[in-house]
Amino acid sequence: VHLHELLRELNNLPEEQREVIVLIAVAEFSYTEVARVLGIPIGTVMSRISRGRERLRRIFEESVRPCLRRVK
Amino acid sequence: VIGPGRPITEEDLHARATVDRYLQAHPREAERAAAYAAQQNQLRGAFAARAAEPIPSQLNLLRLVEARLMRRRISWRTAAGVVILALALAGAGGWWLGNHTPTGIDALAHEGALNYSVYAVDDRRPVEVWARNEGTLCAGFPTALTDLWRLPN
Repeated sequence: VHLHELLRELNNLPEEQREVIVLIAVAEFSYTEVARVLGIPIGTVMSRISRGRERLRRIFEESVRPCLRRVK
Repeated sequence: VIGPGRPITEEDLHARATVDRYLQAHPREAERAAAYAAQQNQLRGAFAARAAEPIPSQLNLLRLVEARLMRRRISWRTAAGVVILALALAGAGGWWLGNHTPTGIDALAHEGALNYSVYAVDDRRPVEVWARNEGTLCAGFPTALTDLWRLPN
């Protein structure tokens, strides 16, 4: 996946998902720290990061699949 | 949840073993976990690449600062005062988490104004100082302050 595409898709995520992804994946905060910084329950941190990661994964799987079909 | 610099506890090891067993028994979930790990590495790579890019000349802070300082010179002490005040406010009650937090575009304007007052007057360094360059950071503070305080690591 091209870096610019990834950043573009990250930018397209809802802000609440984007901020937890950046804090956890890039800034290496723990779930507890993110919950404290954003003032939200830890369960909310978990559900937001889970939805965000899943959304990014789906987007990129969909962009890869058509190429694989053509190879068949 | 385990990050660098955090001690790994007995519970972490047990949890890790439980997760590994689960993933072995559920290949689809294992695939998903691997995709998330790859995604995380790519995100880190993407941000690292962006951080290493040279600053476009129109955003070069030194140029902006030079132009500004020609007109009006603000002492480093004033800038340091703003930093100390910001730290004191933050320490006084998690002020950015409180009810008085500006939201939306106001928050951006507030942050911009604070950043500008702190960094724009700094004519000695670029705006970003990495944590490992503690010496550079300390050099910017008046000696009277560094005698009294240690920078938080």
